[in-house]
Amino acid sequence: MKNINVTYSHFLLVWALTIVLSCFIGSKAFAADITEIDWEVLIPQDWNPNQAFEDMTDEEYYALSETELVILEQSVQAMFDAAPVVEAFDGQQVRIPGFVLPLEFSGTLLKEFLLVPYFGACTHTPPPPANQIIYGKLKTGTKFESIYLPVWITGTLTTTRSQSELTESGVANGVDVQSAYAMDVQLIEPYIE
Amino acid sequence: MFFLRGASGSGKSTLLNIIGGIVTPQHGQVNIVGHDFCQLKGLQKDRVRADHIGFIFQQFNLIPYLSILENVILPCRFSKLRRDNAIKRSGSVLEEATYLLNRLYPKGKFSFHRTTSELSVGQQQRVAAARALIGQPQLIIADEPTSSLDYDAREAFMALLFDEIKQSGSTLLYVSHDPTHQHLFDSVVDMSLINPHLELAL
Amino acid sequence: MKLRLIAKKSLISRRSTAILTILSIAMSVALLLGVEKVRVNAQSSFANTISGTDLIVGARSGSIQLLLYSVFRIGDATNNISFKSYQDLAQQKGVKWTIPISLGDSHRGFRVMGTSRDYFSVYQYGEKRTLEFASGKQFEGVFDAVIGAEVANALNYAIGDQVIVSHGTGSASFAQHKDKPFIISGILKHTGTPVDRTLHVSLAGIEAMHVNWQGAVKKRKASKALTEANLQPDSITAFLVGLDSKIASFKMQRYINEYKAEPLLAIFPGIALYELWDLMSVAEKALLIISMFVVLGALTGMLAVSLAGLNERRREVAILRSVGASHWHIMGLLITETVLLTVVGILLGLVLLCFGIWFAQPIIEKTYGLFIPVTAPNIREFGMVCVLLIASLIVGLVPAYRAYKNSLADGMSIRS
Repeated sequence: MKNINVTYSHFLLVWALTIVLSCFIGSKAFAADITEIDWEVLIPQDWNPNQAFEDMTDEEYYALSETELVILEQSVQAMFDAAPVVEAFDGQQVRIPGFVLPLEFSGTLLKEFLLVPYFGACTHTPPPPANQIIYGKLKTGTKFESIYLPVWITGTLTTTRSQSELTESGVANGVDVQSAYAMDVQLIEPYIE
Repeated sequence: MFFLRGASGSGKSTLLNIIGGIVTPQHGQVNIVGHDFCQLKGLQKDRVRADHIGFIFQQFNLIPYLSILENVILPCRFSKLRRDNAIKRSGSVLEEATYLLNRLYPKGKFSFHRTTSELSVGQQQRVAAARALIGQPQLIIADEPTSSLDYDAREAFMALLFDEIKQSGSTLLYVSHDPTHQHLFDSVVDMSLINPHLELAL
Repeated sequence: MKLRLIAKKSLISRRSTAILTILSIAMSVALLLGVEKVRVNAQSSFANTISGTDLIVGARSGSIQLLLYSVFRIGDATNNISFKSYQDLAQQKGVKWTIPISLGDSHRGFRVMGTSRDYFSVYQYGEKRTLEFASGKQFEGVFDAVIGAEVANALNYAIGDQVIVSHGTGSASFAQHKDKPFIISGILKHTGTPVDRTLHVSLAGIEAMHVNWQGAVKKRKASKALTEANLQPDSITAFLVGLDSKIASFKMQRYINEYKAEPLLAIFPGIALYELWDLMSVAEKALLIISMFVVLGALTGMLAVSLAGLNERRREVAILRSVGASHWHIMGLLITETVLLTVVGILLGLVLLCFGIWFAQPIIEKTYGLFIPVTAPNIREFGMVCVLLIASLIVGLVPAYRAYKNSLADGMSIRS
């Protein structure tokens, strides 16, 4: 009887240790795959829609007429719309904080949404450029309480390349496929400071 | 068999409560069936009471919403010892109850599954006796069991009770203010001997 | 004999009070769970109504208001959109499809909606489901109408039936378009959304109805023939927009909101829905608190009944003590009675709820477009039931303790 008891508790100990170890290793491995990013890295280094404004001197800026200013701002807006993406992120697992804009539901569960860096993207002008918006999709609907609170989104990013061409003045020319970030979302967690 | 004589207010109830383990005395010792009550905790005293003592009261002995049989087998619910004794004697608790009831109702022809509310006082007392006797506890305490009965019923009850006691070999502690039957008993004790404060209380 | 059996027999002997206690618990449970069910199903009913639509556009008003009248047919618009603006916006780069909506008329309490033929192939509800026809087809002639499943059921309509449309959206109207009857060309399958309660006609049909019509006064007959070509509307109430890319939603929304020609409002349906739910949540919380108090009331009633009956039961307790029951047995007995009453009450409450829903379901769906299914309790409801059971246990402790105190005083003196 005594021998059997020893073997049994031995087995339990080994089993428990294995569970603990694998969780530890597993989580480390899991963590290693996910990169935590912020919104800035989603913007390609060489893309600066405000270049035209920055190149101007102060005198040149104040010398602009009303119509010239409008045209310039419109071209900036056009660049926002046709903003390029960083293709290196295609297929990457990332974790990024943001605000959710719900799009599709399954019952009361959220299935598709847009993620943006700040709250009120739909009321503030100008809207965020295309490379600061992520179109998120969930395989199974998830409970989502409040659009007013930020969240951490974890998932696999995908990028689609824009087929637009920009003319010299920076105006988009025939945007066929909007360049965009999309994500297969795995996890939504509340954002706590 | 003991006859304990005392008028109302002589402290009978208190004494019975002490013997039953319901109340703990401030001084002195209580020793029931070899168990020293003063050493035992409440739960243990309940155990002893369940295992070794059966009570018959003057009236309102039975639980009105349980049937006759269910009332009789109550002690076996709380005492494994008495339960086992009953099974040993008759094969099952219910059969033992039926057996006892039949002995106490030699002429009775009614179903024992009826509720007790339809019984006469005399019939109720006999059910109470059966309940006190089931499982053969060593001590039966009867507190004025016949006071509510008329003369004929009283005689019949006493006869049946004595018969059963002799069969089971239990000790009977019979408490009453009426000395009519005291000659039937082995010993007679008067409350005034036990309770020195009797005069003052009265 | 188990404690449970004694408790059961004890309760049966005091039938009338036990039944009343069970009934009051049952009703409070039915109320509590009913409120929760309506809450969840109202939310999902709203969410189910619209899918795959990127923006909803209407005259400038509030976003919840726009969502309610355009999609849920609740409430009315304050102003219309000019058809010219609609056409201009529909042709903007990046717009994949638009569905125009024209409201303002009704038929026997059901809304009449003017729209394009695209509606039947493009509009989505639930999880990207498109509309299907149970019979017939979409409108072709100017005076064709396609009706939802509920309209067909309630009014017993079939293909080919004539329908007179009334002006205004009230349940009754004293201004009817009698000279312009519509003919039913199609009946849609059941969707569980406000589509079921709507009659759909073409925009030309709405326009035709209002030819020679000025504020409930009919003018002389028009000389022009009523063909689709002549019947372009001046304005519509709202329109739904689908875009090539969801990322472009913000840009398009901004463009429409700043449209120079007239004041317009473009909303994200998802955001407006959340704002609606936010609004509803205040009422929901209030209802929840009220029903919790009702449950509390029922428990208090049970406690009162239990305490009131304790005096009678002192005899019973003394008897049990004499046959060997410990204080724990006595307390266990009383707590078991309380819990037993609650369990039966909860079960009865669930049954009441099922019957209530089953009975009221068609009425609610007809009046509000809300579909409340009879489903098993979800986790939250289950949690509520568990809390109630624990509460009943605690409530049972009070008479149990009282009985314990009583029996200490009584001993085995059986009081009469």
